[in-house]
Amino acid sequence: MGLMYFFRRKSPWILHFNTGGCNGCDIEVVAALTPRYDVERLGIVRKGSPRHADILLVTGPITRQSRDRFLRIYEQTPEPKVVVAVGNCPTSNCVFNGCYNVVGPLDKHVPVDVYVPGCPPIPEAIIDGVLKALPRLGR
Amino acid sequence: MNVNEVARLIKRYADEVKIVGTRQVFAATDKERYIEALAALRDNDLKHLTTITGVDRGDTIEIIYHIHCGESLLNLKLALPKTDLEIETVTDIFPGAILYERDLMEMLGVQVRGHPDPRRLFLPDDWPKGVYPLRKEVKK
Amino acid sequence: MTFIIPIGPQHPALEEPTHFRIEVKGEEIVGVDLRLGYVHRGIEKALTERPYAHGFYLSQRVCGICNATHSLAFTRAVESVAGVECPDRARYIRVIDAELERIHSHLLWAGIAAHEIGFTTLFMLLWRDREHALDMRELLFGNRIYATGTYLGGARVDIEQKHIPQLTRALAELEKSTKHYIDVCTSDRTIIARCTGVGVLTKKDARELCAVGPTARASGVDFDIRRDDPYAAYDEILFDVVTERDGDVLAKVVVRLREILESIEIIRQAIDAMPKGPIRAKFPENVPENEAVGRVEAPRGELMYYVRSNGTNKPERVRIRTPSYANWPSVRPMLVGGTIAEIPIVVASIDPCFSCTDRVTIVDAKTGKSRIETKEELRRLRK
Repeated sequence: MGLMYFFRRKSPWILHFNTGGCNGCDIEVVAALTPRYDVERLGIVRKGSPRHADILLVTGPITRQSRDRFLRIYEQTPEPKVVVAVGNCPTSNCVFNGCYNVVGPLDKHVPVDVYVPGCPPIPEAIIDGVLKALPRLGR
Repeated sequence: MNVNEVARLIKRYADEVKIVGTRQVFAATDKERYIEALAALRDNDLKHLTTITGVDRGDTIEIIYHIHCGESLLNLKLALPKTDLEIETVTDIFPGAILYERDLMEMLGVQVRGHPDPRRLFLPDDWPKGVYPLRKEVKK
Repeated sequence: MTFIIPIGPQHPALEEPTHFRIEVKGEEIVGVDLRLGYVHRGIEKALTERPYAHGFYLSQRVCGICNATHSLAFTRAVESVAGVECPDRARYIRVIDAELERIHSHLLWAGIAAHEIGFTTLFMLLWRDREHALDMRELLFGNRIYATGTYLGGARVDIEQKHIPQLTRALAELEKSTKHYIDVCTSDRTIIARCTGVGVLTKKDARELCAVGPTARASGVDFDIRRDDPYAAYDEILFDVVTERDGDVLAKVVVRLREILESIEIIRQAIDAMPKGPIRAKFPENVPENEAVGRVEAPRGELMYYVRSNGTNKPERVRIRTPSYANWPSVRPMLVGGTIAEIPIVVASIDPCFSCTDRVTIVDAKTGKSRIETKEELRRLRK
């Protein structure tokens, strides 16, 4: 556990999943990869498959249609896993509160470790949220 | 085409032709004439259907075909009583209407006869049958 | 024998995480099917349950990338319903706002397209330069993404004179780099090999399927709401509508990059011509019964809002037709006849949004067995 935790903390792999958001947070997550912010210098790598991921970055309120897909992805992610809610939508539904197809917020469905509020949060805030999530990987 | 030309063209197929501002024409047609009207627009090289809107007006559902006419926009209305919500598809006139008609079917419960692909578009798989979210009777 | 390839719905990058079922015969695509709705939140209904001032903020959040144009289209429709005239200075602020957004959206898209063809260096460079446009939005309007200059009845914030030199410098920087990228895209061997003749949308198909925006303009359809139905201050500004004839992915890249140059010119003209004066007219709380359509040219094409009011402070019906929605039917003729390896770039070429981690499951239609491939693996399949 100790050695694995060391490696995970040094280079966490991230899966980003949009559960029905407007894309604002998603482009900020991608902007965090690009030269000005460049999260790869911190060892954070973005992955395409949930089976490779340590950290789930979730953006968007949970829509009815995406809920089951998200839960499946959550189950496919191996333990230990950390869920980071990026933006106001997974935290509190934001402006979509009361819409008929929205069943959020995220913590109604899965345990959330870190909340990054903002609509959308700036890339620095997202990076900070991920770094705050790292110690939770050692639980 | 400017607003006056559009108004002249549509007059044969619609009543209450109303020019709003310098760029928009509103007109009301009926179930007998709307297919002819849309075909006539297409034959005049107006091929861009911007969208189809459905509005719940209480006892009737109003369907609005928004057609881009170069310099102007034609909004062609068709009112349907809620007891008889059936229209013909316009996908043979405007192939781009295919998604808008699917939208109309699931959101307002209008039946579109002859639609090539009448499946659900936006609503989730487990959405109850017969509930149309944009109808007025549907509350939170 | 044909196979079905489902793509999505975990397609975080798409504007609407969409589920495609693509029918292939060997390498060749023979059919395309589409399932939308993973991001369906019910905004049209929600807008009718909120007062206009709240709906304004909700309308921006239809799309995070073209939020300024969404608020502009909503405002245009609501202002014509209420009969409110926007002051002159605000009209110019709206133009600057919308064009800054077009620049950042097109650079974002070009970066994604570069990423889709495996040209990651270009992706990083384009996104580095996109930060200039975002910085300007932050400077002028206060935020990187949700920073609209529009408000009901005018502009939300005024553009201060002291910020103009910084804006001019950023525009010069953007112009220089965009010219360089146009050179790169029209001369680089990798890009030409991957984009020429791929995903062709003929002019006939583009017109029949009612394609909009750069997707239609790359096929030679001369259609731009900024010119055909001018709003804000576009009728007082000179600009060209950029069109190309080929209709392939390369033409779509070139159209968008050349539009950035046009946008830069538009902002320069707007800065010079901007009159002094008030920026906001009073917007009434209750709006009399009326109906109106507001159309604007979003970065992805024609965006339409239909608003019907009923005398209260909430609209009775709002209909939103986004440009990506209008462009979906065009994806079918672009994909059919192509190969599996072309799917990501062709789907991206209509700019449904940027894409990164979507996955593809290949299901054998006969045995029903499936395997999951990430897009990385799919990219390797390409020759």
